[in-house]
Amino acid sequence: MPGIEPRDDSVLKARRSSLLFLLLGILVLFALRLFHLQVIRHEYYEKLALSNRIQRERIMAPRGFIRDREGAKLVVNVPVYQIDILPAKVRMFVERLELACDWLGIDVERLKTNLDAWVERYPDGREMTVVQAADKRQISILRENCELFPFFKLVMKHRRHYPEGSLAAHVLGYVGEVTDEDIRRSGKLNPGDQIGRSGVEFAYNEYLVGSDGVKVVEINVDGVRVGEVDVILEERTAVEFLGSRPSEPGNDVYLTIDLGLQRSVERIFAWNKGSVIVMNPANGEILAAVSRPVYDPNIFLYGMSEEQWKELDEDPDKLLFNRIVQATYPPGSVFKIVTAYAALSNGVITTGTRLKPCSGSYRFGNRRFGCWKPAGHGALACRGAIEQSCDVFFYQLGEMLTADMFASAGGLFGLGAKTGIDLPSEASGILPDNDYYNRRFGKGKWTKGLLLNYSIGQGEILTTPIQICAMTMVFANCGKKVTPHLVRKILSPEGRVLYTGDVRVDVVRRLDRKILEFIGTAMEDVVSGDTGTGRAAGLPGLRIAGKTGTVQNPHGEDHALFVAFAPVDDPEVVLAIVMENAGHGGAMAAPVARKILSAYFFPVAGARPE
Amino acid sequence: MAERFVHDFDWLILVPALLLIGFGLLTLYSVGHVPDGIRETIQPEESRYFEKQLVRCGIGLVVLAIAVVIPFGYFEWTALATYIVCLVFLLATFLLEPSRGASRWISIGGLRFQPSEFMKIGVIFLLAKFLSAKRNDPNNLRVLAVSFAIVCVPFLLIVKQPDLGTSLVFPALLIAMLYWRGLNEGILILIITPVISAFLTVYSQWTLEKDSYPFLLLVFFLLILVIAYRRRRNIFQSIVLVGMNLAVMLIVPNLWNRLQVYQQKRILAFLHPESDILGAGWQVYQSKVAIGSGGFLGKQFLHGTQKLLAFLPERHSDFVYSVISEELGYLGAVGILVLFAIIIIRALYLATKMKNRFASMATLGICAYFAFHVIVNTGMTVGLAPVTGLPLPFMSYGGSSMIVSCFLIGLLLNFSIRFHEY
Repeated sequence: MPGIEPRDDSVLKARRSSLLFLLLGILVLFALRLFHLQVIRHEYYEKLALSNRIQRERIMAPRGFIRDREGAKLVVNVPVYQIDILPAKVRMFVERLELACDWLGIDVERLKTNLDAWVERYPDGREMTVVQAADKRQISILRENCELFPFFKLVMKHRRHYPEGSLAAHVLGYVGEVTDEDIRRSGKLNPGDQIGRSGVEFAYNEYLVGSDGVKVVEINVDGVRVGEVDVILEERTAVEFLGSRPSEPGNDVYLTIDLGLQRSVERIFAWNKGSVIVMNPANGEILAAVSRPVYDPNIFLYGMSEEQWKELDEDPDKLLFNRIVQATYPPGSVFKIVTAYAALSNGVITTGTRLKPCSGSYRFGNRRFGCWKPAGHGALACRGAIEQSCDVFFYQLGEMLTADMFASAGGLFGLGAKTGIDLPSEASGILPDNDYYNRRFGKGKWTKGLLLNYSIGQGEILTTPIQICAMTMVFANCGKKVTPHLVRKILSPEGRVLYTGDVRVDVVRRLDRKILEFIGTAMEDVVSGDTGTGRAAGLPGLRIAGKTGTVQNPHGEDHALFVAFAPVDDPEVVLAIVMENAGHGGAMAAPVARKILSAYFFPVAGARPE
Repeated sequence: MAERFVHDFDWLILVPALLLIGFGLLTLYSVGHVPDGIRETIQPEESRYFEKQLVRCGIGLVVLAIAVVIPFGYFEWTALATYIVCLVFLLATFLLEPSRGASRWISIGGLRFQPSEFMKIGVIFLLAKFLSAKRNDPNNLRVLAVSFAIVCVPFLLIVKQPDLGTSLVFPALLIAMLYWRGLNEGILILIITPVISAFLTVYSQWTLEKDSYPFLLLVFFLLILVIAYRRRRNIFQSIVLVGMNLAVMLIVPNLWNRLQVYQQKRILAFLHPESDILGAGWQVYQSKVAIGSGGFLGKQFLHGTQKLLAFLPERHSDFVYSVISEELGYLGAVGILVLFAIIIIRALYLATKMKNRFASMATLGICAYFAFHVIVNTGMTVGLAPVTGLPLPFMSYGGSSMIVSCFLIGLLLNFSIRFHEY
């Protein structure tokens, strides 16, 4: 090669080996890195890859049904389609959102405002419910245009449906979606779950909820489902590794309620405020229970805005208020049977003792206590006093008794304490004793005048309808106290018995059977005697024992009360009726009792004396 | 000529290249393939990648054949012209409407191509021609300045496009070719090693996931000690080398702590994308998941799940190596690296064997081209290099890269049958 020196090969070879050294070093490093990723940490990344594409979808288990004692459906589930919006996707399709809202009939401006507030509250991008229950048109629009409107999602949900409408609404209760607060507290709940909020739905929530299932689906990067998982993954892996399992529906709750009787009672009780309880004294099963005013629980079916809920919750008539266990009233003259028991059992009087005659009022100190009958009853013994509900007779008993005697007698009949019925928010009422008056008015600053009122069930004493009913039951049972309850049994979906309404029988030994029988006879006179205050409850061919009550109400008309049990020799039903602002118990409540007893004992239409 | 062709033709360059093209096509086929029973998740264009790339491979092979036949003297003769033409096209990209926020593309008569890819050929030719001149000693300041200028013009233009990944190829070519021409090794090492030390130090101290960076840093430091020992004749330089790297490793953490938190976060997001899975680090995270879940033998061809369900981004272009590693496993992943290594090593040997100085320099440039692309691209997919968007030669979807790679392979073959020509 003319003009060009031969190159120094050794120099080039040295450079070549340096470069080779560098290249091979890097490649070996990469091979080690690949080995680390693909062999050593393979399992870790395999799991990551799996969780990337696998989504565990919850299958919400339907709640159990609530049925009457024979199995008739009182609460069932219906599928409702809910429209959710995915905040993350809206941003990409703002102009389509307006079109979608136009088609679906949604106020787009309001939706945007709500969505902004939602995103601020939940920055994790969770979906917001736009329509709680879509109508058919909305469903079909979204189904046909799911590609066009990827930000909307149709979700099928089970919602509670009450085929009988407002029947026994307060007993059945209602459900609601869990709040964040619920989720934090329980640790088991998930967003979107429904839990019982009142009534049996609340009390037996644990049995009614099913166990949610898990469906394993494969998704792509946009979270779009691409298929059931077994396309790529074996079923076995899905079950073992990812916990795929079917959902199990909740258990069916059978109430003690008798649908036929309940329907009759609902119809018969034509009063706007008050309650009725019909119970079997032998086992405490509640056969019918009504609280008025009532609401239709199906309003929850299509979801409820916050305003709607507020309106319902703050209604002046307190629609959601369950008067059966939550309302407290002075028992009025119904309490006289307890006063009579207290007097007889403490030996203050005997059954034959005649007290000072009633002249229409009674003078105590310089105060005058009136009897309900201004003309007066004359001199009476205990039986007659109960029959005619003579206030003056009981004033005199009140004068002889102490507050503690009232309290201990009332306590034996279950007053002043929760009955233990399986409904939430039961009130205990008030059964005043000596300490109570001392606390309330100051020691020595109250007079026996309070006890005169106590003796006829007025004043500080407060009772719930269920307490009055349970009290009457003790008289009907001659001393046997049974816990009232609403659930007869709970069956699993396969028909296994999981729970039976426990009959907690508590024979109150300190009760004197003879006295109870005596008072029972007097109560029979109330209905069947010539001068009985409860004659309007009388039914030919049935021995009924009852007691009327008229509760003085400083805010308006008196409350009408009536308790009864029948037949007297072997009671099958006990009932308690409270009619707010209705007037006299004998005139207003007793006829209702007659109709209910007639519906129970003579259910054939023609045999009903109407 | 015919006899020489058969005797000297380097099959160890052509066959691995063809195999890589084949694997690339199969991978693109897999990307566009959806098994029955799964709802269509890929976009319609993805199913056409395979056919489109098939056509480009055809063009590439024709270009390869042409590059073998033309005597290489011709390329030396036209080096400057080639460089200028490429530069003109590169400038032309700025006159066109930018697409997707960057002006990288140019289209002539319906053909779209990336001038920055072809610019690599222009730079290799011109640098090779300039440095192969006997009088141009690389340790001379004038020569260094001209070499820098040759590289800087396209480098800055491409940075401006912006396409940081592609632009980094040019400094790499320059350093490799200067080294080959005889740039003082000690100075080279003194420039490069502290940069690498700084990177590794930041990496190893602020990784959020337990990783191998501290180990890498240790290995790198040992490497520096070895180099220092081997170059112990120039004891002063060796001491400076070790001292500089040690200083970097000690000072960088100190400097780091003075930065504001948001500044630290930005740098970390660049250096260690895993720290922000849904942001910039999403791609690398998903790529590692794809590769790691592939295991030793892979999920089998067409059965990758990461690729299938679109978790792996850019799976047809920048992250095509992840798809291969997922479906063919460790064996496939290493196999691809071995195929590239064969080409690069054969080219290195060819560069020493070439009698012609231009051809030797150009061969080394081609070597550097393949090595840099492969290392940066695969390094990115395994999380050892930042995400830069550099294609993997022969495999990533894209015409320009395919044609340039084929042309360069053709050139290597051309040199191999004419190695004894001056």
